[in-house]
Amino acid sequence: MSQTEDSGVRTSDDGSLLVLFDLRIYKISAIKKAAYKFASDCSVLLKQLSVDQLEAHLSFSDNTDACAKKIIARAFCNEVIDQDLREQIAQETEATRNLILAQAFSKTSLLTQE
Amino acid sequence: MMKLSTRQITPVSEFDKQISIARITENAELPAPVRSKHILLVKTGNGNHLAEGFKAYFFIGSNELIVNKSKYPKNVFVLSDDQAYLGEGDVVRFAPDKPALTTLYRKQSQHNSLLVTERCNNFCLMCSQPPKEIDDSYIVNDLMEAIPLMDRGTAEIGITGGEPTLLGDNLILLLRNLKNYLPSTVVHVLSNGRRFSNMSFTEKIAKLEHQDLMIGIPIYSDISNIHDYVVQADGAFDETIQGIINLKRFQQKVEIRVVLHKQTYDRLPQLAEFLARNLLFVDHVALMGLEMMGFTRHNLDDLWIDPVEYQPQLLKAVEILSRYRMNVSVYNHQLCLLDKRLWLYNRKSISDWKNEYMTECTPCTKKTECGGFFSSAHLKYSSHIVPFLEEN
Amino acid sequence: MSAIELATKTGSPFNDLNAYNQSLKTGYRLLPFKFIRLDDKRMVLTNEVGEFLVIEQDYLRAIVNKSIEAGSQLYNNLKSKHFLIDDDSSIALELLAMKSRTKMQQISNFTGLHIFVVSLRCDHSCPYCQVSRQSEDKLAFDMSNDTAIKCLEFTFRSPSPSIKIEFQGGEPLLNFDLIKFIVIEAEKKNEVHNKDLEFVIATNLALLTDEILSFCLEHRIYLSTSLDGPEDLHVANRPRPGADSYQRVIQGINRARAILGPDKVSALMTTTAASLTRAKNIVDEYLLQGFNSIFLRPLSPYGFAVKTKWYQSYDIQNWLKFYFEGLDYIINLNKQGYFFVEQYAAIILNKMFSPQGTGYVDLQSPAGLGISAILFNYNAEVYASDEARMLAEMGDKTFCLGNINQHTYEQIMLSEALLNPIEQSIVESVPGCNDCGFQPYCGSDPIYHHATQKDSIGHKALSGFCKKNMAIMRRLICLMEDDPQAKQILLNWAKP
Repeated sequence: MSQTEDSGVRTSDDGSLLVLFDLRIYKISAIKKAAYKFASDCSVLLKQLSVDQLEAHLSFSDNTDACAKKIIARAFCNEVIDQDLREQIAQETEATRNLILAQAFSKTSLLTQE
Repeated sequence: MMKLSTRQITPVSEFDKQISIARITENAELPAPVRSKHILLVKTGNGNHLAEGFKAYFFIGSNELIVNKSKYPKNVFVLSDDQAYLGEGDVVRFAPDKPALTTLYRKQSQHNSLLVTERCNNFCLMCSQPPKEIDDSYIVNDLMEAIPLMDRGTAEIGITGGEPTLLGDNLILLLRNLKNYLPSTVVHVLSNGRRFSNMSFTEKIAKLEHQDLMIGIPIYSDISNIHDYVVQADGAFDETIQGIINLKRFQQKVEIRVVLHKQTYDRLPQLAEFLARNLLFVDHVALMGLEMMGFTRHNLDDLWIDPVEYQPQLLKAVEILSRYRMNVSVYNHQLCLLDKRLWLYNRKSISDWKNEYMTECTPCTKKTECGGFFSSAHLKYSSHIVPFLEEN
Repeated sequence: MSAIELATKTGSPFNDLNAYNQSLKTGYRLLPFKFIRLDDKRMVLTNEVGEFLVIEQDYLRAIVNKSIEAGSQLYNNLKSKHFLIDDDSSIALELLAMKSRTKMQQISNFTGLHIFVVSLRCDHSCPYCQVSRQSEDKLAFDMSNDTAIKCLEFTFRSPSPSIKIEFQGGEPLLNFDLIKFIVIEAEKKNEVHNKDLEFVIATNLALLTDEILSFCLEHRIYLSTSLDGPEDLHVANRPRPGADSYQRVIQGINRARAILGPDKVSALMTTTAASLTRAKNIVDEYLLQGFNSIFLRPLSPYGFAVKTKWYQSYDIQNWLKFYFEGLDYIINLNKQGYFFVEQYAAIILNKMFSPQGTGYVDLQSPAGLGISAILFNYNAEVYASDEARMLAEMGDKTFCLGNINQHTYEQIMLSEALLNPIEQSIVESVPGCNDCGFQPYCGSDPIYHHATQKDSIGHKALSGFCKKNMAIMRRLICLMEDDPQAKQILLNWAKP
C-alpha cells in the first residue's frame, strides 16, 4: 500500500501505534477529521512535533491484536488522504455549490435571458 | 412516394398569372359566390361544359375529357397522372406562370405537415430538409391564407421546416390562426428548441393558450459537444435544454426526439438516464430510425448503422425511460429488426405520402402492424429484413 | 444554391467532432461532489443531488487533478452525471439547481403525518414495547374528545396538501369510539380545506369486529399491523392472555383483506434477539400470508426495550448479519421470478433514483421531527415524533414540544425543543456527515442519538444508525455494480 510511504508507523511500548505525518503534504484539519471518523476503532491523540511534522498516537482497546492494529492504522492513513482530497474538492467547488443552492431557492434563472 | 409538388401543368385555355391559394373541389354546383376560392377538379363526364366562376379547372391525366376547348372558361389546366391523389377538400398553392402546383394540405391524410420555412439555425448531419438561406417569408403568407380553407375536422397538423421558430412573431400569428380556424386540431411543431431559450418568446407561445400544442425537440446526446457536433452548431445543446426548461415553466407540452445513427446509438442508454434524471417532466420521448434524405446521403459513412446492431442500446434506453414511467415510442423501425420486447413501443410513424414496403416484405404476415420504410430507404436499408411467415 | 450543392462545391461544410469540443483546449472544472470508499478497490462518488458513479479508486486523484482525458468514456460519464463541467456547456448549473429544488420541495409541504395516540391501554404485553402500557381497565389513559378536537385544529393548520392521520396506542381499537369521532370530525373539517386526507390505524387486529371493519370500509381507512414472524416467534415476542396473538393477527389480516381489500392491509415486523437467527423464516411467513414486501427493522433503544434489556442483547453487527441474510434471501426470491420488496432498501433506493426526497422521517435532512411528522399523546402532550414520546415514557421529556391545551400552534412549532434538534440534524452541516459520500441518501435521527449518546448530533463514528446505513448503502451499490440481475431487481424497487 503506497500511502504509508511518506508517513512512518512505529509501535510504542504500550502497544499503541505512532504515525508520523508530513504537514507539507497533509493538512492538520484532514488528520483531525480522520481521527474523528476512527473514534470507534482507536483513540487518536495528536502531537505537533515541528512545523512540518505531526505525530498521531493511536491507542486501541485491550483485545485488539497486532494485525488488527496495523489494518486500522493503514485505514486511518487512507482516511487522512481521503479527507485531504475532500477538503480540496470542497474548496474548489464551494462557489459553484453556493450558486446552485442560491438558484434552487430563488425564482430567477442562472442563465439570464431577455 | 406521393408527389406533393409538380411542374407538369399544361394550360388548355388562357390563364391569369397570379399565384393563388385555393381549395380543391369536385362539386361543380358550389354556390357561385364561393367559387373564386376553389379549383374544380374535373373528373368524369364534365368535360363537355365547365361551370363558370372557379379559380381554375384541373383535368388529371389524358385529354380524353377535354372537348369544346373553345367554349372553356379561362384557367383550365391538365395535370400529370401522379396528381390523381388530389381530392375534395385539399388545399393547394397554384402558380400558373411558373408553372408550379404545391399541395399544402390533404383532407384524407392523417399526416398533414406545413413547412413554414427552409431556413435553419442548425445544420444537422442527417437533416432531411437541408437549410436554404433565402427569404421565404411568402410561405407564411400563403399558409395564413390556406389555413381557413382546411377542414375543421382535421385531427392533427404538423409544423416543420427548417426551423419554425425563426419566423419569430409570425410563428405566433400562424399558431393563432390554427387555433382560431381549427379549434379542435392538435398541432405538433418540430423545432430545435433553441429560440425558446428566450423567455419572452416562450411566454408569447404560452399566452396563445392553444388547445393542444406540442413542441417536438431533438436531443442527440447526453454530452453537449456530441449533440453540438450532430447538429453542427456550437452552444446548441445548452440553448435547446434551456428552451425545454422554459417551455415547461410555461406548462407547454414537450416531446424529445432522438434520431438513431452511428453518432447517437452508443450513448443512447446514458442519454435515457440523462433525460430521466434531468427532464423527467417531458411528455413523450420518440426514438427514431434514420431517414435517407437530404444531408444523410452526403454523410452516410458517418451515420449509417444497421438497426439490428443497436438493438441492445435501444432496449436498454427504453427500459430506463419506461422504468421512470416516461412515455416512450419507437418510430421508423421495421418489426423484423426490433427486439421483440420493443414491439409494444413501436408505432406506425411514417407519413403516408412517403411510406413504402420493400419487395422482401410481400409475403410478410405482420405487414399491417409494421410501419414499413421511408420511400428514401431504397438508397440503403438493413440487410436483415426478413418477412414473418405463417409458421413463425 | 442549395446547401448540398454548396457542400460539394466548396468541400465539406461539416465540422468534425473535435471542432465542438472546447474541453480539448480548456480542460474541465469540478462540480460539487462527495466520495466514500466502497470496498478496497473502488470509490463511490455522489453529486449534489445524489446521482452516483462507482470508480476504481486510482481514478479519483486523476479526476481531482484534472487529468481525465477529454472525450473518454469516464470523462463523458462524469460530465453527463454532473460531476464535472467544461466550457462547452453551462446548463448543468441550472439543471442541478432544478434537481436540488425538487429534492427539497417536500420540506415546504411541511407536516404530513399526524399521529393520534388515542389510548395507552393494550391487550398485549410485548417485552420490546416502546411505549409504557397499562392494563386494559385504566380509562385514565385514553385521549379525551376535547383534546382530539384541539389536535384536529392543529392538524389542519399544516400547509401540506396531503394529511395522514395515524391512530396509535397502546392498542387504538380499545378506544374505537374516539377513532370514529376523529375520522368524522376530520372529514367535516376537510370539506373546507380540501386536502388529500388519509387514515391509518396501527393495530394488533386482535380486537377486530365487523362494526370496526365496516367503518374502515366506509371511510377508506388503512390498517397496519404487527407480524413478527412464524407463530412461535410472534407469540414469544408478543404475549397476550391466551397466547393467541398469532392466530388473532392472521385471522384479522384475512378478515380485513376480505372486506377492505389487500391494498389496505399492511404489516410491520419488529426485530428481537430471537429474530436474529430467523431471517428466512420471517420472510417465509410474510410470503405465506400473501404479503409482497417486508420492512426488516432494527430495534430502537426506547421504552421497555431498554428496561427489559432487550436492546443490549445484540449490537449492530448482529443485526446487519440478520438484515443481509433477509435481503439476500429476498433478492433470490426475485431472481426466481417472485416479486417481493425489502422496504428499507427500497426507501434508500428511492433516495438514489427518484427526483423527490423521501417521506421516511429518519432519512430526511433536516430530520422529519415536527416538520414531517408530529404526535399527539393521549394526555394532550405534543411530541416531535413517535420516538420522542417513547423517550418520554422512559422519563426523558427533551422532545416534548408542549401541550395542546396550553400552547398555541406557533408556540409548539417554534419551540426550542423542536428547533434545536432540527437544526442539529442537517446532514449538510454536522461533523462526520457533512463530507460523507453517502450524505444524499442518509438522515440523522437526533432522538436516537440523544437516547444512545445523550447528544442529538451524536458522534457518528460511534453511532449504530451510521454503521447500519453505511453498511446497507455499500451493499446495495455493490450489488448494483456486480450483479446485473440484482441490479434490475433493485431498480424496480425504487419508485421514481
